[in-house]
Amino acid sequence: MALTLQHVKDRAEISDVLHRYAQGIDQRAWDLYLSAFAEDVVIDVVGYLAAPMTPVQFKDFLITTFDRVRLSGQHLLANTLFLVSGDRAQTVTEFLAVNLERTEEAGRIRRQIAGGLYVDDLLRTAAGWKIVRRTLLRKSDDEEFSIYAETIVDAIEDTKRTSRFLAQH
Amino acid sequence: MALTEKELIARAEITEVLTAYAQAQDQNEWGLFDKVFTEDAVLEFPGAGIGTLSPIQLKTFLKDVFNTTRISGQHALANIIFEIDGDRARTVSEVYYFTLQTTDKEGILRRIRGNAIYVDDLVHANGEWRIRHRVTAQKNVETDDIEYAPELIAAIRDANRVRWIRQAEEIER
Repeated sequence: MALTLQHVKDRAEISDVLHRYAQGIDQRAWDLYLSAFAEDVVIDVVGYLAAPMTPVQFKDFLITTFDRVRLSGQHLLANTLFLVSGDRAQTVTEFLAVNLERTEEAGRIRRQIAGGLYVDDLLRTAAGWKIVRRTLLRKSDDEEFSIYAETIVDAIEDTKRTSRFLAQH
Repeated sequence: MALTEKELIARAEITEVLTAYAQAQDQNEWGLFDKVFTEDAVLEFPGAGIGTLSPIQLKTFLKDVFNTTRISGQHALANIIFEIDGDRARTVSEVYYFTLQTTDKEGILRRIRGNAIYVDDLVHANGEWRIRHRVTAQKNVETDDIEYAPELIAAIRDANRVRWIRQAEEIER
């Protein structure tokens, strides 16, 4: 498809939205995460959540389900396929997630490696592109256990505690 | 390097072609696959044991052989280097991939994980970029069998059976 400069700008702006979601989740920067969404949005995790949730409900679900033992998380995005038509868009994006959790045994860490797909509907609003529906599809979900030195765990905890963003979102 | 508007657009168009290949293979979108290569493209896979293929031969292999036992897969692209010269271009892309295949044992999946580079020569003709030569050069590959809960296998299989990628006319709905 032959692209124009406007097409390229739309893709860059939409990529920013997808990155805000991932960075928001991974750095537990919840305002950044929420800034990716329009109002009246649902997030559907197929085969995992019993019913779709709003972004706030999903945030609360993540906090209450994982954060007691969560050490770190990273959702790398790749291969975003853009379909933009006027003020509406669909994107399909691969993600690879690596999450670390403490176990009951000191220093023994559970590492989850999971792949999947984000299917997003987006709308161009007065505040820029926003996700109006997100469907998360799971492709793989593996776990490994390993022993981490206390110094590394402390460094990871520091990564989690420290806010790295200049602006408040 | 300072980019011109034309170069920026060419990079975006080429990225869409590379992305289309990965999305086609991973989401079984064979109509999308047909937009990636020139008809006479040559596709090399050193060490993979499948020889040198044409786009049609690769599509047939994926669609009718490899993906028939595959429940999910991912070819994540990164770090693309672009060398564009008029209507010709060379890109080198890192790719991390995995695939999960069913085996004859219930609950046991064959997992293939690896890293490679795609070395692509592209040509711009009739208003679009297409790949006319690809080398998939391996860096590492590991195969093992792994136990998955039946409900997780079902969830992955069901989700990946749905055709999620929409057509342009469906976006406005």
